[in-house]
Amino acid sequence: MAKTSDVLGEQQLGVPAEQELFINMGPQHPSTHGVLRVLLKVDGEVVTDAKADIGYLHRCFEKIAERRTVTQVIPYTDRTDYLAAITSEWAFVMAAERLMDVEVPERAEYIRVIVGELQRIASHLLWFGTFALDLGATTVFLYAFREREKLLDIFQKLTGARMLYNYLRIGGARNDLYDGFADDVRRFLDDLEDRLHEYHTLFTGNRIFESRVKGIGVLSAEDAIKYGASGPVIRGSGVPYDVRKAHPYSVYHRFDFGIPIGKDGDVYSRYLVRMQEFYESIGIVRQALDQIPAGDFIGKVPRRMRLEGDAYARVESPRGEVGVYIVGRGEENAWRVHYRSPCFTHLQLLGPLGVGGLVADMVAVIGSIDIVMGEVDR
Amino acid sequence: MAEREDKARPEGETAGAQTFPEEIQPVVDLLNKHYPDLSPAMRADGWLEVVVDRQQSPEFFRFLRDTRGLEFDYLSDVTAVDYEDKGFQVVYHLISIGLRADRTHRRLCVKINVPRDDARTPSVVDIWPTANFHEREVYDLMGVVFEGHPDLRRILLREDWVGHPLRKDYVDRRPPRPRVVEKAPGSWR
Repeated sequence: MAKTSDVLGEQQLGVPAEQELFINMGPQHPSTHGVLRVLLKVDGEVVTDAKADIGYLHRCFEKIAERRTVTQVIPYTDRTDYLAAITSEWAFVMAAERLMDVEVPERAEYIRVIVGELQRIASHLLWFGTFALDLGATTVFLYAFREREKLLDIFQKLTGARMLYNYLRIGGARNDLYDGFADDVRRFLDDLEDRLHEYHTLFTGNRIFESRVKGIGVLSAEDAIKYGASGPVIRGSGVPYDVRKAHPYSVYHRFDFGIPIGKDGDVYSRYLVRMQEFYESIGIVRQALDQIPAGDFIGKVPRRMRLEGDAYARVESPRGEVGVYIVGRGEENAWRVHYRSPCFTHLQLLGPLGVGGLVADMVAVIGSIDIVMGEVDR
Repeated sequence: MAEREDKARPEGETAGAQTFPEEIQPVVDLLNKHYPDLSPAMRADGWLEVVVDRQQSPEFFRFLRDTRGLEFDYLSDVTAVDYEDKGFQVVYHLISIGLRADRTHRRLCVKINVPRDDARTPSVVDIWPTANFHEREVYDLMGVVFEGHPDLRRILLREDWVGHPLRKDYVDRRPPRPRVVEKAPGSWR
């Protein structure tokens, strides 16, 4: 596989001092959610340096995207962030639409918002379960997956797939909402609201949990901006930056929703921000279901899509700011596609967040930035 | 497309059109005042765009980050495009987030042209630490060297990989694998 020459991490972290020790956390470690290798330098149990070693899942998505027509790339974008496939598709599709000046019907925009926010709920549910599991709370994992299962059933009914939907199209979506979709979703949301209350009583106030996350992995607001953090990580540090508010895309400016921010910038703040985002997403989906107009679910698109010029589109994914930069030179294939991944950027934070803490705190830190390795390595 | 995005678009969409949306006009004025020969242009997707020389790039980026009224403190993305005989173009997308009260979230795209036979440009890691991984990725896949980068190694590919895959003249050196599709016995096809 990768980098066999640096098994001891000496190239990256330097030769250890006498009392120090290298630890390879990963590539196969239960808390890394995929194949992430974290090089740790420890003195006793205190981490003195930490670096992420990535690339184990690299497929060069960007090269593949150059060799396919724009429509053919959409399924590949699913495979980048496979826990929030809709938002990766959305960023790509939006960049292509801006490049070709394709008009998206209003109903299609609402469908995208509904599906995108449901996707955020699904992704946060999985994060909630696995984060708790990393910290030793097995029951929470089962509870979270129970709810996620119901949501995936709705997705399956709508798109035919449970994780990799291939649902959005340039100019709209692949198919319209099915009859009874609104009822299904409303029932699910009502149920979820009750369950969220249950989660809070089960987990949030738990003293063992609190002692493992409070004051751990503190990220200041200045550092969050400097290190390019986004999503719940930057908001956990108290910076109210959300692409949906900062540069509203689609129809987000029509909805009334807040941006939850944290106070302390520690693991606990990021946890609370994500838990709060459940409620905001529920609110957005309800508003969208109320307002959704009749009409087409896909607009008029040219038969042969020729890309010309360049465009950068950003989307607020459950993990942060996903950006897609497309360059076209008059052909049906993109000349260059670049995918800006929030998790890739967040992995630089392992050093600043983990140093000074214990090895066990590293697990909490990795869980709190919610990485998906498919997106990091692309 | 959303109404706000449409408003951000210039009339007629010709490159170099001199009408800018009013929230972007102060940025253009500041840029024109300090760098008169830059000629910022509005892109169709709502980003202001400038092309600078690589020689002036570190001072220019520092100017963008530190000048009152610009304050581009957030580096969203660094990438590079291979334009074959025209060389490479390194593309930076900057946003101002700011901890101050005026949260207008200005956006700016900076492009630097880099010749093909001398693919190097100054690093911006000391200005925005987030550039570290982004520049390593560009170096890994496109082969642009960032001078002054503290730790410029391959990041996604393995260390002994030959070449930079996103270059247009990259040759895949792996042996070709023919695609074999066998008919299953009794297949209806």
